[in-house]
Amino acid sequence: MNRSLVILLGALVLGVALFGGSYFAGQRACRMTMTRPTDDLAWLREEFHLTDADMAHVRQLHEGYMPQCAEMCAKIAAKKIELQTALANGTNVTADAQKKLIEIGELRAQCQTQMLQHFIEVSQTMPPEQGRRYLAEMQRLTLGFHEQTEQSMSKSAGDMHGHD
Amino acid sequence: MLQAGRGRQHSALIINRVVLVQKNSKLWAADKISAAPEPMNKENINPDPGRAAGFAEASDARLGALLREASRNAGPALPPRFQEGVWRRIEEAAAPVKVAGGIAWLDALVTLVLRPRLAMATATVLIVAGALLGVREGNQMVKQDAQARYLAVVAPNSLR
Repeated sequence: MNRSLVILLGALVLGVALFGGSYFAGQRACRMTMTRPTDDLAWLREEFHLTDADMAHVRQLHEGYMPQCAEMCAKIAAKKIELQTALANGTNVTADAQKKLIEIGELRAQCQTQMLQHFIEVSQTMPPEQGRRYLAEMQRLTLGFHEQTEQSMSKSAGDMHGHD
Repeated sequence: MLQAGRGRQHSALIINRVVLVQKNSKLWAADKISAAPEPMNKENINPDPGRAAGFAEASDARLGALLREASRNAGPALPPRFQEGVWRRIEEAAAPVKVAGGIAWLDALVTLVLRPRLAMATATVLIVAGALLGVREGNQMVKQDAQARYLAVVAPNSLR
């Protein structure tokens, strides 16, 4: 092989190694120094530039909301177990199983309402612009997933059934 | 051989011219009077001017004979366009060596890459750019992790 080509390839490999090494080193150093594993609300402070006073209000609301959320989640989990039991007894969707599905849906709706209410309350503790941004972001992250799924499902269903 | 013969002929012509010039100059008479012979120098290449004319004529005759003999004894005739070929070979030898194909640019690039200053500068730029990009990416990842952590607390997966 040509000597010049070998030297050039060697230089190229060395350059890639230098770039890659410094890239991963920088990334790792950043993650190690900036990650705060003890605080669940660290993202709010960083993303929405909240002051200590804002954070104190948010933390208070958060601590009030968490037991309610845990209670609702426990109820949903219990209903899910009941649904599985109802479905395990037969091959058809029984009236009991259907009732459990409706109850789970209602519980989820209640829980989502409670969650949205919490987001609104949190947004009100922030400066107006940041509050709007927070609310929009949380709605996108929590409700947007369902919307995307429903849109994709309705599109594929429309294609399959050929609705005109 | 031919060039050597030409060189000798040229030298003989120069000697003859110098002798003739001295014959026509005023110094010629003074030199003729002078009894003591002068050593040969740049102006007077013949220290015995009294015999210059006879010597020059004898030299011409001898040189002519030598040249004629040399031309007769010259080796076999030179091939056609010999001189042109010689000049071409001289030019080829004097020209810089060309590397075959498209390798020349590669060699030039390697020469450029291996310059210590450029190599150091390139390495520094790569390290700094990589580190900056890594920090930026790490920052994004930290943000995403923190966001996911907050969402997992306030909005469990069953609600999303």
